[in-house]
Amino acid sequence: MKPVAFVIPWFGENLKGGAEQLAWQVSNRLAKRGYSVEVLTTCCASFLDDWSTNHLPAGVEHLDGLVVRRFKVDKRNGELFNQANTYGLSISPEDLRPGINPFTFGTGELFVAENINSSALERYLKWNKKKYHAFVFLPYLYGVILNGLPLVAKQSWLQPCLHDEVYAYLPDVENAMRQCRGILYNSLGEERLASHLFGPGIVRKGEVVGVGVESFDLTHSELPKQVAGHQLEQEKYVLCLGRRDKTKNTVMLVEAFRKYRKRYPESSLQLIIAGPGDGPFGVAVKGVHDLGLVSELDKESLLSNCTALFQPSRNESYSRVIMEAWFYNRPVAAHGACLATAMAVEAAGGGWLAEDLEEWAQLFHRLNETEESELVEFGKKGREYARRYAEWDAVIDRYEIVLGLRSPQIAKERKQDRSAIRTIHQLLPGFAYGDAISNQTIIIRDLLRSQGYKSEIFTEQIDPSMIHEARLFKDGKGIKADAGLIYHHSIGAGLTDFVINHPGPKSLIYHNVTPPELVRDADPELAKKLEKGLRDLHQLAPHFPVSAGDSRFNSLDLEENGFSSPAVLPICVSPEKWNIPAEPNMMRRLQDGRDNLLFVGRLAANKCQHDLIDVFASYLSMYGNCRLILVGGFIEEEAYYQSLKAQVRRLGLEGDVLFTGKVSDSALHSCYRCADLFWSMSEHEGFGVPLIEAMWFDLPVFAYKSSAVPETLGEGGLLFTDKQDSRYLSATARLLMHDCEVRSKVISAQKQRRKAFLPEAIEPKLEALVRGMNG
Amino acid sequence: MLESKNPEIDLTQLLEKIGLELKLQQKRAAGGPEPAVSEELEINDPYSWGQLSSTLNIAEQNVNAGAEVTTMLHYRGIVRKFAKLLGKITIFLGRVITIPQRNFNSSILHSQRITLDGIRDMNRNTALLDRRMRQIEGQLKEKSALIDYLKTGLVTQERRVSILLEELRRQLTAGEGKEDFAVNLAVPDILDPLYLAFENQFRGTREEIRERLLEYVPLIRGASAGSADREILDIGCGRGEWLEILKDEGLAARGLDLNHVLVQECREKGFEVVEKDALSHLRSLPDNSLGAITAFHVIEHLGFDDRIALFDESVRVLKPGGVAFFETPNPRNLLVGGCNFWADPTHLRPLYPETQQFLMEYRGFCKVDLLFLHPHEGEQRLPEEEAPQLASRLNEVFSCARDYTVVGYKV
Repeated sequence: MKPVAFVIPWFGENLKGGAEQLAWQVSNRLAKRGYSVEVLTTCCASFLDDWSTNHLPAGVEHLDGLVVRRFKVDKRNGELFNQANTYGLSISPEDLRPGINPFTFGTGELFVAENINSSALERYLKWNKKKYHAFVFLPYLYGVILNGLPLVAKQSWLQPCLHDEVYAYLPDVENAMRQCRGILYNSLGEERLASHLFGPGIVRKGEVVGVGVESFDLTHSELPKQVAGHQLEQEKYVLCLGRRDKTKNTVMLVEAFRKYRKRYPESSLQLIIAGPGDGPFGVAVKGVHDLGLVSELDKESLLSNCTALFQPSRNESYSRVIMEAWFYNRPVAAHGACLATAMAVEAAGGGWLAEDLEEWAQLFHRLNETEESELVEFGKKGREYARRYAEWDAVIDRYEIVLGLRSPQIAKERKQDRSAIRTIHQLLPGFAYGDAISNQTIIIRDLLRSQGYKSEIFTEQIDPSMIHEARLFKDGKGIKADAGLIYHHSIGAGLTDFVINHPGPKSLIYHNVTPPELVRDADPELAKKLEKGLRDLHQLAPHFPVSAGDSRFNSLDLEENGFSSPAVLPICVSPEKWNIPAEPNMMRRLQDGRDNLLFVGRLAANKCQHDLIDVFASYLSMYGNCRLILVGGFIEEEAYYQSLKAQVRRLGLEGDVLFTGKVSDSALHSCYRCADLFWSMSEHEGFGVPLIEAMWFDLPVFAYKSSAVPETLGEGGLLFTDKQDSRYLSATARLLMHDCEVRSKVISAQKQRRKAFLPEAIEPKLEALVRGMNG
Repeated sequence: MLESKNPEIDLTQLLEKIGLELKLQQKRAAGGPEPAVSEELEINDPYSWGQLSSTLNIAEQNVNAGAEVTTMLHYRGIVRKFAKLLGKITIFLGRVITIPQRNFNSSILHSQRITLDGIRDMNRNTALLDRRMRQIEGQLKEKSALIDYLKTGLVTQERRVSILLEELRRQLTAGEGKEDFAVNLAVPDILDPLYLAFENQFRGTREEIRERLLEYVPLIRGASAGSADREILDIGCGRGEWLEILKDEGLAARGLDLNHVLVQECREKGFEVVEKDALSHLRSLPDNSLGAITAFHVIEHLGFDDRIALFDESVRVLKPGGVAFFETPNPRNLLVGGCNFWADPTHLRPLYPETQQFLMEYRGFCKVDLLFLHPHEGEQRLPEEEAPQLASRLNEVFSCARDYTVVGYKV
């Protein structure tokens, strides 16, 4: 097999730093498993040395089964770099917003251009990429990575080791995250941070691989029973292990313990602090023992005998000691505001979270009251999690799988009906950019092609920008009589006669016709077209034995119109569409501290934007500080749009309701990213693609129960059946946005629900449809 | 009315939460509206940067000019293939020029984008500063209004204190053997000397005033006032200029003033002066007892009710044929109305001439007339030679009579 290459600016066994250590461990462990592993790095010795000096010789070095190639670094202007860096660091973390480049005035470009770079390494990547199976780039913020990755994007995995710091907002970082083939995360917290920064477009290519902890591989049979005069097995103590200083919240923990002991003076619980740093802490507090720096063996002993480990620091990117405590089946408490540790504790169920002084103080009490068996239970859950994410064997297994190193499983031989059709085309009335049905045809075509069918999309009208995706339909030209045909029906079109007369196998997919009476008042022209659509449907029924609606709601429509046993083929909604940068101006405008309430859908009477404006007015008067974003195409002269405008004026909401019109994907991306709630009052949705898109952006969905909405939402979102009480609806919307418990329950259900519309979930249903066409 | 298929969501619990939220919200609303932050930051765009951005977008679409063959959709079949081939060759040969051109394009475009970003940031900062400045200006206005308010309050308090002191002093001096005390108490009449100093500064010199007052003598004579049984009362006699003229003319007159210092000054000059509030003095007089009542620059210190009471009492105490006249600044002269009037901090508001005329008539005076006096003369007027119309119009509003007198008779 071709080698896997790790690309990192510095490489060596004794280099300090998380990413450097990680690269050393992973590359060596993979090599030990017999894979061909190379490291591509520079001649610069370490992060701390001058980045434009070649301390080490260029060339190939063989290290214990590992091939290390070093390349000369470029000359750079360190002065300029420092200026750009200082500029970036001067920006307060509260001012950082996803999608907005904080490095203005060209400082971002300077930061990357004057970073540690190696043209020699870049040239090597460019010319030798075919010799490699995969490249793993780490960490995210150096020139070598940011400039190198795009050269081999399709074979590259980025292991960003991401932190919420100013560099993470560089456009070059976003570019690397978007371009790479896959992303390897060290922790769940890091994964969540990435999706916060870059949206759902990168979610599906990311994988949490975890970081191993060495001590798991060792077994200490003989741990000391006594440390610094403490008979550990006989004492009941909470352990706080690691760097002791103010930034790690050691002082706060001691204070919390003092508070606890004041309330429960008879308690025998003690607090033992150990680790490097300032101190000693809590000298005057009864029951606190600061041991300072202890030996590795003492540390292990302390861990194995503690009642629980408390990790009060709120800026940890990865906490080894938590994993180590779990390794000894001990429960852990972490700071609720620290993403990395809190998510691990939460996901593992291996302990508790606390934030302020009072909560920590209460936690001591709670811990003291908890039975040992229950503590072990927590510890065991933690241990399970640690085995998964912190045991090197499990971690390296995941690298093997993600990077595709294990001998490829024999691909499932696709059973293709040799007797039947080889060509399946699709036909639809209009094909436009961003349109859900058009996107669906593309996905179906790609699925069909991957299964060996010849497949094209034909359409009556085409958006010029989409000319490469579909062909213009002219009297059936290009569609052979024996070719299979999937006809997408949604609105009255001139295709009816052709599809009825097509002699080959065929099927119909129904995307719903809006009931004409819903729009007749607002748009009589459209109502006429819709009526024709409905008449046509009736006419089509006898000619299409195979049919499907994109929801159960639509299938029922088909049945009513004379189709026999129609299937359901949902519209495919995949987040990769959003692997594009958000529109920066929109991002800036919408992240101004106001809550953004969003609805996406054409401005139309049946989508009831007027009801939404009414209820929004009530919400605004109750809570203030919010805006309503109505994304959706409209024509300036349209009566409905004009009536909405008038309504907004009448209610005095001019500055608070934003009509975006039809927007580009990147602008829509911004709207979803900045929104806090997706709120639908629509009374007619044949399917409701935006509902699922909102789920991918982790927006709680609050929707009126009508048509296909409940079916599409499934377990996600929250439905309401009555539009009248706007104060009540507003209060509920408020909870969905600002009540952590409600919000997280809704969102976690949505995370599950959205998977039902991924291509792999749709595929079997499409296969069934094609089988039906075959006879 | 809520539904969810999510097994994690307990609807009863959620409904309780919503009820609580509604209650809390009501409480918050009762506590006053939350500060609305709904003001959009308006960024002025006088240089049309927005347009620049869209121009850049157009440029961006063309940045890769000469890199690809067009789709040639208007050709079909073999012709299209040939056309495509030809296109490809052209593009291949053209690379000598197009590659550096494209590099140039993209670097220029890039630098433009950076510039535009910078400008946007600066615009935004400017707008932020602007908004902050407006806020500060508003706060400043509020504060200076507050200061004015406090000053007025202070003056009122000082006046009250001096009235109190006055009253105390009077009561004490009424008792015997308390003189020492009274002397001490007389000292803190702070405002009285202040107003005297003020009069000296702003009202003009004694001589100027005397000259102006002489014009009124014929009015007195016309009403045959000033005889022993038709005495003249000058309300707010001040430094006694008018009393002096009347004495010189051999007319019987009495002054009245509230200001202790001024009263002392007048008494020293040998005038008969009452130190009393005008209305209570008038009220103490019997019907048909005076020949004339005069008051110069007094009525603008009175509120509406007091002014009406003054007119009413005057009508009552005047003998038939008696005259009353009241001089006050003329607001028709815009300099006076808009500015000079306010020089005296104890002035209440400028009085509209016809209104005073109407009021006096309505309260029982007859033959009520307005006399406009003391216009600017000579160099203070705009010369009318060059632009006669404009100059006369401006003189009309800026140089016309600075005072007016409303005169009424009792039949």
